[in-house]
Amino acid sequence: MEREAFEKLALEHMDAVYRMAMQLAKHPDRANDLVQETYLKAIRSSKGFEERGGGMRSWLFTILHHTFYSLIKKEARGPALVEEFYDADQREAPPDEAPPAWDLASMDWEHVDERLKQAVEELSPEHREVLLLWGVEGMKYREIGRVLDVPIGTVMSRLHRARKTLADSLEELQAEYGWNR
Amino acid sequence: MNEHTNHHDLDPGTLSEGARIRAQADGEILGGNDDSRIAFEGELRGAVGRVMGAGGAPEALRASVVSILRETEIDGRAEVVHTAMGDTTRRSFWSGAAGWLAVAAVLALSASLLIMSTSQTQTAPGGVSGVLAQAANFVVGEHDECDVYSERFVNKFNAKSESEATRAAIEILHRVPGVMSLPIDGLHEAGYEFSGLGRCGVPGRGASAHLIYENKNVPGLTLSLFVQVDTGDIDLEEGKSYVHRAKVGSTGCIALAPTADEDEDARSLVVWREDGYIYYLFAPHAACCEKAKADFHAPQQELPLFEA
Repeated sequence: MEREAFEKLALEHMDAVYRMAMQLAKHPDRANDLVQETYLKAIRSSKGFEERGGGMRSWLFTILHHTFYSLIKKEARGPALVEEFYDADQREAPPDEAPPAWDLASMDWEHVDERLKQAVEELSPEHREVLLLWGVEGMKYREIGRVLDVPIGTVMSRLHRARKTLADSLEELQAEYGWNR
Repeated sequence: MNEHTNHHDLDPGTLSEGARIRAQADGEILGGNDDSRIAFEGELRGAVGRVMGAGGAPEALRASVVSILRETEIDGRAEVVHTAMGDTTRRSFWSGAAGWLAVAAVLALSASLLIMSTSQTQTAPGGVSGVLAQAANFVVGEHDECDVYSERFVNKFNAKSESEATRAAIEILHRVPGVMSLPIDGLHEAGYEFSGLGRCGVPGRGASAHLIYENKNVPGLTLSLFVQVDTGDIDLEEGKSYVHRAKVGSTGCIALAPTADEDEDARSLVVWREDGYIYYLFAPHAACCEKAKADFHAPQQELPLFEA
């Protein structure tokens, strides 16, 4: 791909990359650094990029993901963090609880969104990451697995936990306001 | 890719009840009769899209990244990225020129829809347009996974004759949508061969089905029609077609500018509301875009699917 075309295509996904960086880093300055690092790595290895499979968006997310966790490993919290998480996730039993059956549309959306924001904030970066790829980017499990370099079962497991947390928060809201189920 | 990675398709038989319902709601596996739970998951996904999809990169950061992209020397070494994208399953269909055109078309439209999705989530806090953007993204991706040569096709499209399709439509969509009343023989004469109908998971509360047709005039190319029960979440004016076009450049890169109707590289997603259903017609080839719109009786009057 010509450099100009590559740049154009990469820039088209910048908002999405920034949103992901914010979800991981939770601070604008760190998110800015992550995005710049991601694009620097992308352009340096652009000759190896081929438009196939998940395409540019997934490729940038993959770079961002690895960059973030590489930084985490370098920081004082300990180099084993990521591996520990992955190992724990591999051993995790598949999700078994069925989702609730109540009607979100009967709720007050303003309250729903505010409560969901709080619940998302409380999730771990790994769960926010998978939730964003699923809920905002509309990715399929397989594509999420490729971006994060994890099996589909892990994608489902993380998604289950994240969704369960959100559903629990909405259930609390429902109880507080007495909305219909 | 590490040793943990396993990208095989899901086997519904191995999933717990909860995992199966969620996968059905996400359109990952077929079937599902627990409509209220599936609807809840659909609504939750829409809400997550609203809550997490707001906001974009600051202008100062954008300027900085533009500068990085233009000034950094490319050394050609894949020094950092060991992308996990390298093992894309190659299917026989994709080895042909038409197949690659279709791949490029899907990528082009996916990318442009994602851009539009971003703006929609930013400008539609009520989430109505966000649901539409999610649905549009989904149908393009789903079409890509459901070509008639894939294993997914065999599993998903279990209604392959007109009578089976009618029965399945009643089961999934509660009745037979108007567009399915178009005689299959007539569509055959127009160049489309009905290949199958299956339950689908288009984002939103309404149940949905996916119909797929082979284009007899362009071997190897398929056309998808998604039909979703209209629950009023998506704000489309009846009697109008909402169209999004993208094009594929000569190098396979993507240009997002709207294309002229006569542009040979144009691919279209056409969405319209009619008689209690939302229709999504995806025709990934210039030879069938405009013709399909007419053949499937989409409204003549056009509006842009997403405002620039």
